[in-house]
Order: sequence, then C-alpha cells, then structure tokens
Amino acid sequence: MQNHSYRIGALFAFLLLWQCAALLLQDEILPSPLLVMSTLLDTLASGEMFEHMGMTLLRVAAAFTIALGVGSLVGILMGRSQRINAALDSLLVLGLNIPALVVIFLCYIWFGLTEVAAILAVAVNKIPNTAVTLREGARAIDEELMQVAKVFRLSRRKTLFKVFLPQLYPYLMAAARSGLALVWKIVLVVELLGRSNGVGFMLGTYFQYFDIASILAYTVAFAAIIMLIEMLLLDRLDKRLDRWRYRAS
Amino acid sequence: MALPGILIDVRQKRFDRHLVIGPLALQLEHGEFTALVGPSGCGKTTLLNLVAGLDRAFDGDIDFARATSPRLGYVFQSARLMPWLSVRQNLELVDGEDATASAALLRQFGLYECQDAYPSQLSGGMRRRVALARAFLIEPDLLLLDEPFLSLDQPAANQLRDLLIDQWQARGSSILFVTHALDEAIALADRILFLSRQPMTLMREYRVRAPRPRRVGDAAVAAEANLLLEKYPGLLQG
Repeated sequence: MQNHSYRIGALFAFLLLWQCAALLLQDEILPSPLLVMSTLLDTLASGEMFEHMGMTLLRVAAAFTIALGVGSLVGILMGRSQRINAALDSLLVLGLNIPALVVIFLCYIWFGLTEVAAILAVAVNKIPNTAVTLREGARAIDEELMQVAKVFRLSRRKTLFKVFLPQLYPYLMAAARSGLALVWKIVLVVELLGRSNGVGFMLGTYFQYFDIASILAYTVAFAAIIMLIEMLLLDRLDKRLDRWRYRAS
Repeated sequence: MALPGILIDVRQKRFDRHLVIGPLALQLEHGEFTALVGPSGCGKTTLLNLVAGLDRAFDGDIDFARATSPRLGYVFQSARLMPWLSVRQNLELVDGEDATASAALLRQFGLYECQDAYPSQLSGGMRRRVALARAFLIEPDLLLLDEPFLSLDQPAANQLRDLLIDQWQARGSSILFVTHALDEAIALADRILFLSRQPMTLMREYRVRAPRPRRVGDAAVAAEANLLLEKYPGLLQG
C-alpha cells in the first residue's frame, strides 16, 4: 500500500511540473496536461481511438507471443547444447545488432505491405533479446535437481513442467517484461511505415498536422493500457509463480 | 536372503585420464543394509552415481538380478527438494498416483503438519526428513544414501537414523549407505565395506556384531568401533 502511494505521488508531481511548464511556456508545442486530457476525452467519445487501439493491441499480442515462443525455444536450446550454441551464436549477435528499422524495411520489401510482414518484423526484432535471456536461464539450470528427476524416473512432462521450467520462470518473466516494452514501441513504428490503421498510423497522421495534443493523448492512453497489462497480468503472474519465494521471506 | 542380490562390478571409472575407482566388485544381499566407509574425496559419491545410472561413462556392470528396471531411491548429501513445490507436492512429484500412501508417509515422518510449507520455510533437519520420505515413497528396491545426515545436530541426526531403520525394517529395501563416520556405520548397518583412497578399491569387509537396536552413542557401538580401530589402525585413512 505504501508503495502505491509513492507511485501515485510521483505521477502527480510529474503532472504538476508539466502543467507549470505549459503555463509558463504558453506555446502550442507543449500543450498542458489538462488540454491533453480533454483531447483524449473527445477522441474517446468519437470512438475512432478504440478501433486503432484494438488493432495495435492485436499486433502487439501476436508479435509478443511469437517472439517469446520462438525466442525462448532458441534460447533454451542454445543454453543446453554447446553445438547448437556454436552454430547459432554469430547469428544471434547479428540479430541483436541489426537496427529495427532495417528489419522493418526488409520485411515490407520482401513480403509486401501486409499484416504478416508487419508482425514478423516486430517479432524478429524481439526474438534475439528473448533468446539471450533464456540462454542465460538454461545455463543456470541446477543439474542437481535434474539428477533428482532422472533418478526418480519422472516422465518427460513432469520433468519439464515441475523441475525444468520453474527454474526458468524468472528469466521468462524478465523476457516478457522487457519484451512487452520493446514490442509495443516497434509496433508503432511498423504501423507508421506500412499500415493504414493502429496507433502508430494515427500518430503519423497527427504529426503531419502538428497536432501535438492529439499525439500526447494517444500516447498517454496507450501507455496507460500497457501499464495496466503489466500490472494486472504480469505482476500477478509473477507473484503466483514466485509465491514460494514470497512466503519464505 | 534367498533372493538374488545386486552385483556392482566397476572395473574402471576414470575422469579424463585419472583413475577414480577400480577395480571394485561388491554384492548386496536383498534387504541388506550395507555401509560404505572411506576417507572423504575417495569416490564414494561417484560410485553411488554409477549405481544410480546418473553416470554411465565407466567400464563395468551394475546387475540388478531381480528386477530389470529396479526402483531406486536416492537421498543426496543436500536435500535437493524442488523449492517451488510444497512438502506434499515434492512427494507427489515422484509418485502422484497414491494420495493415501503419501499421506500415510507424511504422518510416519512427522511431516503432516508442515505438508503445505515450502522447503525454504523448513529447518535443515526437516528438509532431510522430506528427502528421506521422498526416497521411501517409491518403495525402492535399492535405496542409496550419500552422507544424508551430515551437518545435522546430534538429536536431529539420531531421529532421522531411527526413522531410516524403522522404514527399512518395515519395507525390506536393500540399502547402500555412504558415510565417513565409523560409529554411524556400526549403528546402522549389517555389513560395512571399507574403501581405500583413490583409486578406490575394497579394503576390508566387516559384519557388525552388536545386536539391534543400536544407536550412535551406545556403549556397545563405541566399543565395537574402538575394537576395530585397535585391530586395524589405518582403517579410516584408506
């Protein structure tokens, strides 16, 4: 509870600072939080925001799922097998260092301005990070616990879900958190460059009109939704998976 | 005793070039409690891992005459419980079918009250207790114990030793018990095998004379240990 009041306090202080700055500046380039708020309410009332938010969220969900699934699999295999690691390591370094923009351009050029190309571009951007995180996790697997699974002849299923994966949960959660943050930002870029709906597309449109209040209204709304997902979904999942640690302390 | 026992025949076990064990051949009678005593670092844990099938890179055979796929219980030096599973879930992990069996075992081991606790909430002694219960739950043909009571205080260790003997006598598993403490071996085992330094070989076999029940700290146990050490002064140095 104490932590919540700190959170809200910091947010409030930030808004206050912003409002003061806007009042002092008196310029279109920095609309006040109150103006952004009223713009947000207008846009919400018109209903257009829901459609674009919905599209963006769908893309985030698809790219996030693919990136986390493929990235985890690759990372775990690399962490567990030296041969696979040797084979894929240089590709991984390459993947980590290709600029997001290049991946997006290439996907659009090779696969056309399609939904598949858009989601693929985002996923490809995130897969290497996930793989690196999960590779660390797979390398930190406790062989002593794996021996227990082997001696007591646990089924493959039980070994995977009760012995192996629980050791990776902290790494999966870390990948999910940083993944969500990265994926939604790249989704907006992808939408700006090659989609005709979504938050990124709308931001691009408002940019052309220099409608800063609307840009900020969209940003605030979307960031709030992502924070909500993080708090309601990831935090709860984290506490649930880690409850043995919480109970212990 | 009429049933065929377990034959362990290790001709050579090497780590890289270094010969760790061998040649070493021993036979375990069915239902017998055998203690392996040797200086620390001589390769006892390595031997248990060979028997358990955790390490197959060696020259030799482990022959479980009675069963083609014997049930093995293993109590490691540390408890090795899954930290994310409660006491009860840790037991159900190795045998989830029979809820009444695991509940009965929880009672026998005095774990019923803390069955929902996580391992990190338990004392070291209680954790070992769970590890022992887990090994007995699968009704092992052969139970391997690797200095399971090390670093416990004497009362806690004695409680666990009593539990071990009770369960062993009730179930008739064969037991291979590694220790470097002679009095513990005499208190628990039917037969003691003394092992040498690396490369580990069998130095001497000894059948315990003091009648059961016997415990660590009993005068008869201490006397038998002293007698043995007088007769074979270098016995524990390998």
